[in-house]
Amino acid sequence: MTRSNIKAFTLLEVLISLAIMGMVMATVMQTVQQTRMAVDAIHNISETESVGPRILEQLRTDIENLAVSDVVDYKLLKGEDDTLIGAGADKLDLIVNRRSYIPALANDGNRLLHPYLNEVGYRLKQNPLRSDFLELYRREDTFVDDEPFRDGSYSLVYDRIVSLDIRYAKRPDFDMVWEDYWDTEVEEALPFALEIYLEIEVQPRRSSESLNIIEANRARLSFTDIIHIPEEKRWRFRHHYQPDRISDDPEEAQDEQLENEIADDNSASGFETEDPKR
Amino acid sequence: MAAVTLLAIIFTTVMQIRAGSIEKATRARALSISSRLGNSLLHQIQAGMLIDLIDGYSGDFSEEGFGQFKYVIGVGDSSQFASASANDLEDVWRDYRKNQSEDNSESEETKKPEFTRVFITITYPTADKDEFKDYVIESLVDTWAVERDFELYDFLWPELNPDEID
Repeated sequence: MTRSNIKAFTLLEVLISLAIMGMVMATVMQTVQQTRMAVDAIHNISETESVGPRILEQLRTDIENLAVSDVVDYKLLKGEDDTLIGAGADKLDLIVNRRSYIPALANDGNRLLHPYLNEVGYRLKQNPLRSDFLELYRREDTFVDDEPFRDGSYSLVYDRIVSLDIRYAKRPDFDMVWEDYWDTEVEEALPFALEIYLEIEVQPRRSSESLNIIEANRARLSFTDIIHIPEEKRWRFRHHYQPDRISDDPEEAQDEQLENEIADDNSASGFETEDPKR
Repeated sequence: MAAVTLLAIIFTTVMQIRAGSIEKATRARALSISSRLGNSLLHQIQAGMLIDLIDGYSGDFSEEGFGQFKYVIGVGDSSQFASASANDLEDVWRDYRKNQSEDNSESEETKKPEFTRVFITITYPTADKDEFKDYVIESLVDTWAVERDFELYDFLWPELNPDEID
């Protein structure tokens, strides 16, 4: 076999192939890098605008579902001003007509159910891992007992809270007066509106692209919202002790009496056994 | 040669998809911010906290940290600001003044409605920084809250003790 019969690439061919491969690899690496940055940017875009509004929405839904007709002694809402590590850490407790997240054992002891009348609360405590942050917990206690603003199970809502401040306004006015405390048992009324100020810190990823996208790289975010309790609800709560009136019309009075008797019979027979604690 | 062409096509497609994803995510973010800021403004109106609210009330959300987001509020069913972009306010004001001078000629006393329709138009920036889009919230709000008529509020919802109700 002579040297001229050997089939092989020339040095020039190998060099050209290497150059092409190099260019392709460089493009691939650049694309991968840019895609990774895009993923970070999209994470920042969505994540920085989702946590705060979700927490506020949770609070709003609870307040909008206040159980105005199902409480005794006006014990429905209690808000207290508090501070932790120098930041606002207000407490809020209320009774809501809202399906519980935590199941409760039914009277027969066999079934689990999610009652629609529950005690709910919001509490903050210092984050054990990052001492400059607070952890927000939502308290839930199924049904309502004698102490509606205590006990229950706590679930973590968010662990990087900077501060939570809740203020209460008694009535609308030109110069609205905001108070740091509210107890419906003392006031015998619901506040006209609640102002919630929430400051959180999110963890945006390092991405040069998100710098260009409407503040998507900001880490510390603050949210303020007003929750106005509708007047119908406030009125119903304030006057829910109104004694049953018997109508002047004898037929209507008879119907009302019959309805009341049926209601009494049902409660005596345990037909409405939704709330075993009460 | 064919392989290199194929790779070029693939890379171009990947880059296009990437740009599209960022644009869509930016739009989603702008929409959710607009919705949040607009609703927060609506909640202030519902609580009677927005001072001097008139048809065409406008501003931006720089206090909330979003100076690029602007708003204009239309008040009333026949508001000319119902679908006005905060960037075209000048034209709308011109028409508004013209119509108002026509309306004044035929002055007639009208009864105050229980609710007033409110339109909030948020103008937000898109990925292309020179382009702006609108997001509109429409709602019926108590007239006492829109006009901050607290006498009307007291008339509608008087503070009574439970035993005062018959």
